[in-house]
Amino acid sequence: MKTIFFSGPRWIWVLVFAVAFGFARAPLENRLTERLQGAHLLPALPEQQVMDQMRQSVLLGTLGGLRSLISTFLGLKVYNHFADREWEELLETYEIILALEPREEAHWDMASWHLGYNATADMSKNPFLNEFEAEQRRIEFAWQGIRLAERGIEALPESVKIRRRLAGIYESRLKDNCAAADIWGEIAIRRPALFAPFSCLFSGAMSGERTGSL
Amino acid sequence: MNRPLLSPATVWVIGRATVTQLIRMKAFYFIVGFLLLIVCSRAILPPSSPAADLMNLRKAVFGGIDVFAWLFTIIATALLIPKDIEDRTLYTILAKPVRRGEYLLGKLFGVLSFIAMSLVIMFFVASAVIALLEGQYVAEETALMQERGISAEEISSQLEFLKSQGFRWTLALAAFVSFLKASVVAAVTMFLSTFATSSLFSIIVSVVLFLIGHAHSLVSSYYAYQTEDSPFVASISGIMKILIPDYRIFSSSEGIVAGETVTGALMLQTGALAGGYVFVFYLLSLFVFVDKEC
Repeated sequence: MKTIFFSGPRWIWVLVFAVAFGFARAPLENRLTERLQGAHLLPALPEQQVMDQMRQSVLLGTLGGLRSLISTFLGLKVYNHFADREWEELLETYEIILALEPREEAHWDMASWHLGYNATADMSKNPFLNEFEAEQRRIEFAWQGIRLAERGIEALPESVKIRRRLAGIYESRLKDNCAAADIWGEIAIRRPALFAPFSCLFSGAMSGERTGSL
Repeated sequence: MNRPLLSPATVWVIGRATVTQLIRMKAFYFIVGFLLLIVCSRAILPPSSPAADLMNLRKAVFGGIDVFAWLFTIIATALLIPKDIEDRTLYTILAKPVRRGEYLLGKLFGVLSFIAMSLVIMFFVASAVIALLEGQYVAEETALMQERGISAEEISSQLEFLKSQGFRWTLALAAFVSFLKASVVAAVTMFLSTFATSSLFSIIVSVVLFLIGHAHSLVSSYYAYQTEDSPFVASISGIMKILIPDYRIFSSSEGIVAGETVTGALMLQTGALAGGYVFVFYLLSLFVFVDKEC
């Protein structure tokens, strides 16, 4: 046995052992990765569209513990876009942040707030847009905010914070009180204590008697 | 008289000598870099609410621990065997009744002990900073909410949330996962340094393997999509997966730091996988090193 292992070139045997170990561990690793992803300890791979937007530095940042740091610093970039009122760029940056940290409630909340509130408000004040165009773009951004919040709820089904944001956009930007009341209803199921002082208003909103905000 | 295949006493002595060697190389100085990271992160991180601030600090600090652990492991492990050859220490050791397996295991044990000690120090420093900041925020927020006349129940619920973003003992598990990753990195680097001609070669190849091991699932999924599942891309990706350790599995520390619940079974499975890697790469190192002409 000893002569077989020690006679030929050593690297061949090293390669054979490495390949055998690779085949043995691959199914175990796949299972463990699935379990870790199921427990949200490992993030799922980002979608292709988002990977296209990621630069090499960001892709490298997803390695070895830098994911959170990169998303924090992309937050600074978002702030610059917000200050410069660059809403499309802000959305692109948020797509990367959300792909890096899809379980971070604050990112979904802030992304939908920026699009649903700030971008819509900015459209109304934009001197370069005529009234019709400004209104079209305002509604478009409100829907982008809504879509982000809905994706956030899909990622974090129990989130009250994102639901509050979503209800707010429906209510204040689209004047859709019915949709807002539905969302408040979902919140009430999850956080009844939040509604105790307003129970009479809430029941009114749910039955359609009240159309204002809660 | 037949000697046992591995004498724990010999391994222990070589391990202790390795720790001493690393301390003499002033390897603990890298902790100073970590302390700088903590100070800088407090200064650079964007201002936000107290809860978000605590969470950002937690992520920055534990992300730093993870990066410091694997980077330091690569450098320390790659330097050890070539340094013993350069100093002629290896000849003195192997002229004594010490098996090569004992020598390699002792070196690995020494590096891992040193990494474990460093991680414990970094964990306690990080925890102390987070706990101090948490205490400061809790006091400030309590005073602010009482001033605004917010009900005791709401104050307690807000403080509970704030505390959940601060220090928790489960963060020790994040440091433990970083240690597991560092163990695999150490075993792979030691294997490389048994046939490498220089420390620089071991460091560069080990870093490249680490990056590939982390990124191959991401990159192969990307190129598979771009090339519409080309068989060539699939084959390359398969070869990489089989030959290079999957380091991504050992990145669950990020999830733990973010506050996700971790089960003992998952920790056990991750630990067993890391143990498997260390054992196999130790055997491969031994296989190469056993006939090496020093």
